[in-house]
Amino acid sequence: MIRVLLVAALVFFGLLAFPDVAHACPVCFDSSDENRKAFLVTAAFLTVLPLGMVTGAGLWLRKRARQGQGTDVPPPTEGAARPGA
Amino acid sequence: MSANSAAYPMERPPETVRREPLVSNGVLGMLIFIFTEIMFFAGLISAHTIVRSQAAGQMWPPYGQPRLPVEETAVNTAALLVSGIVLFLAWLAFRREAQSARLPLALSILLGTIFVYFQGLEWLALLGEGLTMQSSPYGGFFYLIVGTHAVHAVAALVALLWAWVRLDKGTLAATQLATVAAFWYFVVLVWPILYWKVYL
Repeated sequence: MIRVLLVAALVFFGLLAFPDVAHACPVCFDSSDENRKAFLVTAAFLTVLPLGMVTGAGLWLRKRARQGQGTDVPPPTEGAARPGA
Repeated sequence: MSANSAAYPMERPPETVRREPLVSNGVLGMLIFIFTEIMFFAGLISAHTIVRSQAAGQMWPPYGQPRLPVEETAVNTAALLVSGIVLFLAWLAFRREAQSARLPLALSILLGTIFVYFQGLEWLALLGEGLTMQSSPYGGFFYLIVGTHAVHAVAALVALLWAWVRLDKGTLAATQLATVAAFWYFVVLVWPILYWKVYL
């Protein structure tokens, strides 16, 4: 765990050593401040939305599982013949 | 005949560990479909937001383009939202006694049909005023976003109608109702966002 945290911290501070803006989006530059803001907001929106949906679905399924839904059907009684057992 | 049953002719067939699903297959499939549709609408909304921002400082709607009927559509939006609420009541009624859900389900379908019908009338009026897909990005986005939603609404209404027919025959399963209801809830809940972005 500590090792993972150390690697994560190393990556984080390593990225801080390169503060240049990554010009990955060739259309994200416009003289209009309004337009630039729209690009940033929609990029964030489209990034967070699927992550939020998947996380929400996962939490919902976990809640259902904890409420007792989706439980195993009782195992076979002892002595029941099972090939290979 | 499998090889196992031949090898153990006098024994019970092998027991399999069966796990009840957390979500029915139908609902799970519908949820995955809805996730993809949410991303589709998110893409449309994002594109609309960017195009609109490029018109900052200019008129929106552009000069010479008709204004959208904000008030009439607000009433229509209310009908759609009530339809969703009534469908939820139908679900509750179905859980108590299946046949008691017939009336609320029919009412929900009726309200949804009213929504689609008046949206169609609105389209005809706007076309008459000169707002088309080609007239401007404003018109293009309007018909693309609202039209896509209308296609979903019609498809969901057909699904609800199918559910109602099965309910009438007494063959509707709870999972089937939950599946089509999930689709309708998506249609209902995505509309206020579209209304806010496109009309206001």
